[in-house]
Amino acid sequence: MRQVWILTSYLLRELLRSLTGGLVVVGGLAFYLVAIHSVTGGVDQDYYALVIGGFFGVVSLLLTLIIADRSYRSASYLLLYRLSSRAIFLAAIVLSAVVVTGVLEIIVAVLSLTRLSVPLTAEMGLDIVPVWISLLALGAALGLHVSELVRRGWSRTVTYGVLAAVLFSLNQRQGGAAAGLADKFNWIPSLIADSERWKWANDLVDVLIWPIAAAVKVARATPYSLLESLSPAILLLVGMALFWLAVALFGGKDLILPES
Amino acid sequence: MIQITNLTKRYGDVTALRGLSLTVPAGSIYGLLGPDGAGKTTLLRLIVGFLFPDQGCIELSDGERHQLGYLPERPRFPRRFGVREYLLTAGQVGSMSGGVLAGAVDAALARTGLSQMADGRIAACSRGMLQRLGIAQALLTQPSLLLLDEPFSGLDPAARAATRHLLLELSQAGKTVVLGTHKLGDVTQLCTHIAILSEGRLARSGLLSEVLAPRARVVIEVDRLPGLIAWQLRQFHPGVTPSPDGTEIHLPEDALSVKPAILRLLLDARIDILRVARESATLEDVYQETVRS
Repeated sequence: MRQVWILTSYLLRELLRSLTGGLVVVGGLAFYLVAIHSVTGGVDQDYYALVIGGFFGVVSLLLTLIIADRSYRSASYLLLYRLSSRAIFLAAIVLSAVVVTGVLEIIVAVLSLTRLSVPLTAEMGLDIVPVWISLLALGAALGLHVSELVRRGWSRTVTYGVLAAVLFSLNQRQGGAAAGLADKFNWIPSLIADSERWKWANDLVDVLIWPIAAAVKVARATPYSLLESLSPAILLLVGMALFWLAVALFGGKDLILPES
Repeated sequence: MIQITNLTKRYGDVTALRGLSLTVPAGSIYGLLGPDGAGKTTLLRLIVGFLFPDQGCIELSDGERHQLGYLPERPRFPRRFGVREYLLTAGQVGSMSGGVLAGAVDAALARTGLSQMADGRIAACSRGMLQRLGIAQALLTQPSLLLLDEPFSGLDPAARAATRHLLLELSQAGKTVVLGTHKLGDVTQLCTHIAILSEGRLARSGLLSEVLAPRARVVIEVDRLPGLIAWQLRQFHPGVTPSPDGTEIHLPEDALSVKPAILRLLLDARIDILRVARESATLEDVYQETVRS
């Protein structure tokens, strides 16, 4: 565990002293100004919970991708050979991304609460925090799989495929809650949903997105079932499974790191 | 000790190592030689564990896997770190801490001549300094096995001599050093054992003294060698070769029986014989012959 913390500290210093690190911090604050502070008519509980949680889940994925790709260079040889397990390196990458994203998320969340007086009850706050944490972890675990560091064979393509299927289906099923660019591709899930032949695929996507859809329900001010209340834990488990899959892929990979 | 058995490594269609078997004795300084693409870097990366063999295995003595120091071919560092800060981090990752780590960092800096740069930025280091920093990080945890890929690359003559001296000291302290290099002069001065790789195969290996010994030859140094005499010398034995500048006559081992006749010819022709000496062939000779064959 000590090696994980030391490597995390190294990766954080390496990131935050770079232009990329500065851009991440500026990006977080810009998000607050654009998506929270300047929303006309104020921010309600649902918006607060979903937009902040969703945005920083994506930031967690991107930041993991950035840190993993910054580590995908020959300077890492000199640290990697000292580790008893390559899993330590991946754990440090994930932890670095989660720490930076988590700190930014806390700043944005607190700023929103104090400056904009979001009507948030303590009970709702307790619902939101586990969902946010699970989204951070899931984003970070997915970020590993889309990085060159972990990629083996077709693993990255498969990850992108699953991500796309989940995003399309979420968009369709949330009835516009995740509206945006993906709206333009609504015909794809519709095609699948309308076809008997593809029913199994539709069912599979249902299973894949259930924890996210349930977590969204938990974070919103709507009633939810006992099973749905477990969705953050399920998302965490999925994140852990993805992490260990990344460890298996990275652990058996020939490391030929570029000299940049 | 490192025991390598029937090691094969492929990168797609390219076979980098083909059935390589090798034993690196404990306490030796083992030079891996070979032209570019011979498989030296691949072999070192396989020993460190960055690559996985397609066939064969590598066995290290107890604990050496986690007690090794490694220098890659062109070491890279985070440029925004300080020199000491980086070494402290590397030592911590290597499970060192507190006063022991601080002492080890100071010692590594001193041994590689980087003490004056200790508080400077890595970005301010020259190519040679970065190479020495690479050596310093490899020494940091006082490993029992050092794997160094082109350790003399980018070093000035003084730093090269200091690095050779340092490696000899480490060997005398019982450490095993494996170095991949093109610098044959450094290998001759430093290594106890060598292996010459060619196209992924082991072309030659063993104690340096044994590899060079069978190539023993006699050199006759003269003040001048007229063309006619040079021609007559070749009639004694086809292996007898006058040097292009006409000041030396080389007799390979299998031509030593004609040495008295050659000396008689030179004396009769009133040619001054300045020196007759038995010399080993240089590593350069052995290397070129091995790689060509």
